[in-house]
Amino acid sequence: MSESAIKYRRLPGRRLRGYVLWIFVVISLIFPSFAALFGLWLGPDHLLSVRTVWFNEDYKRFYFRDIQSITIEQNQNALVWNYVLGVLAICICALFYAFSESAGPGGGTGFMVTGGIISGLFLLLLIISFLRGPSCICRIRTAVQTEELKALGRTHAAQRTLSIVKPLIEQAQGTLSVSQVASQAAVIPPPPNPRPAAPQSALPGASPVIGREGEGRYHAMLFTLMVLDALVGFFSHLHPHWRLYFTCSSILFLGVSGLSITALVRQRTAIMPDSLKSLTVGTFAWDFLVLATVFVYGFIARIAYSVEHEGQLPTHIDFYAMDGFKQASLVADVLELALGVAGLILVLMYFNNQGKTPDAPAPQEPAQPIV
Amino acid sequence: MLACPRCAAALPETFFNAAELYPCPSCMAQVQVEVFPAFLAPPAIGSAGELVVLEGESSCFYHPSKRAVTACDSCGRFLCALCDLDLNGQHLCPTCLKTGKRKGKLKNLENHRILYDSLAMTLAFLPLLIFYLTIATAPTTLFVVIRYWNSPTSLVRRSRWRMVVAFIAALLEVVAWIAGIYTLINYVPWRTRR
Repeated sequence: MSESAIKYRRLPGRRLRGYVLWIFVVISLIFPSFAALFGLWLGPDHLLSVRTVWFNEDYKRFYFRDIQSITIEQNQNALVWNYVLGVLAICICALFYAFSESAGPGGGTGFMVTGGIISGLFLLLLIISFLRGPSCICRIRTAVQTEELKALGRTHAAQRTLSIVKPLIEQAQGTLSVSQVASQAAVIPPPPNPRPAAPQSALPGASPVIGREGEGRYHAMLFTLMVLDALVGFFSHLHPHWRLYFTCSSILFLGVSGLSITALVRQRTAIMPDSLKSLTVGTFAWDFLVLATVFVYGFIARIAYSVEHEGQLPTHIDFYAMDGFKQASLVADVLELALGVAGLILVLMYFNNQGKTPDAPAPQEPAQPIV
Repeated sequence: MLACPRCAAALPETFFNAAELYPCPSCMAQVQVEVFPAFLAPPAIGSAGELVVLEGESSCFYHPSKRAVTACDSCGRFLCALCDLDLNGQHLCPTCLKTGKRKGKLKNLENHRILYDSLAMTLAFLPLLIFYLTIATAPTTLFVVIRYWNSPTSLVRRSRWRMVVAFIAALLEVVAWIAGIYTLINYVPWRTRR
């Protein structure tokens, strides 16, 4: 069939690598090969994957008769983005609100409007990201390659695309039943280019188990430190001594930040429940929020001081003297304690379940055999 | 057996064509797997071509000792089973395949295109941010539109509206510049004062 006569139909899913347009533009100027627009189109007998970088389009065709499998692997990228966007929206809103308060009754409106627009944009992106659902990696496998379909970055879009494409592939190849897969399992070759080495318990023949020895140590340390940090915070409310409190709190906060990053890196390849992984991501977002709030608070305090004292800068800032600091600090300590305790409970449950077998999906009805 | 895309552990057959996401027994990653009959099909085995046994039997253009099985759809040369390359029902010889790909005649093998219509649009509108740049970009846009009007656009976008819009915009910019320069020459303050 002549390609010029082919009419393509757009399939669900379109991804701008680099996430938003301005990031895309900036990144594409620095790393042209990184920033790209991906799309997936349906032809009469094939899928067309299109990658656009500025004025260049690259195409990859996957013929229905050649497609062996399509896999969707859900990940937490969208969740992390949602946290980041939410935190940014709140921080920017708080920052501009503080500016408008310190600018006085006349000059505050401009700050409020600007802050509202910028944080509103982040909020809009957050809502769009939330509505698009969880993120995933979709891969298509043929006899000669396994290729990632980068246009399908969200699970809902990938599943909708699969529901459109599956009947067409089955029309070209026929259907496959579970019993056929099971009976011929022995003759199926292993996947080309296997990814990171499988854990010993996950190899064929061995019974799969939850968790590996040594996993979760950093998570346990992280949540213990968080509980400790929250307790130090409570103690400081009973006996206010800001130098001692800030010294202890800073050391603990540094520890929490370092451990949350380590735990995030470790859990990428770890075999642990999603709830524990999500809580660790939440902890990281929490650290970022606290850091941003303290920075903004300090910034505002300096501005307020210099306005009051005609341009002089403060030698030190007494946070306890600031309006609302004690209340905000107390709320933060309670939240940190809640996060820490929840994390410790999940880690303990995870340690208890290590070595056990998880529930597998129930066997399904055999599909229609190959026509 | 098909493996989990994250941990590479073998997935049990109950996962296949399950129509929803299930946690991998090994790494707990949510995975959905759709498998098709091509997954079980053995790899296709090529043929080296049979030797010519009878006197006067047509032989391959590239391998005179091998029996011809078909003719190239492009150049008409006889081909043996080894030289016969099947491309979506078309039988081609290696030379025609190579030439067709290089010259872009075989559209099914085309894997790259330059979007001149998008280039023209960008040249026409982006410099409007700094209007003085349009003195150079407007004629360039007109050149791109005229020079590449017949060039193929994207495989998935059929229309040439971008070219038309870019042409009109560039033409207006050129007219604006000519009018501006004309005004500057004929109605400058020192001339009107005289």
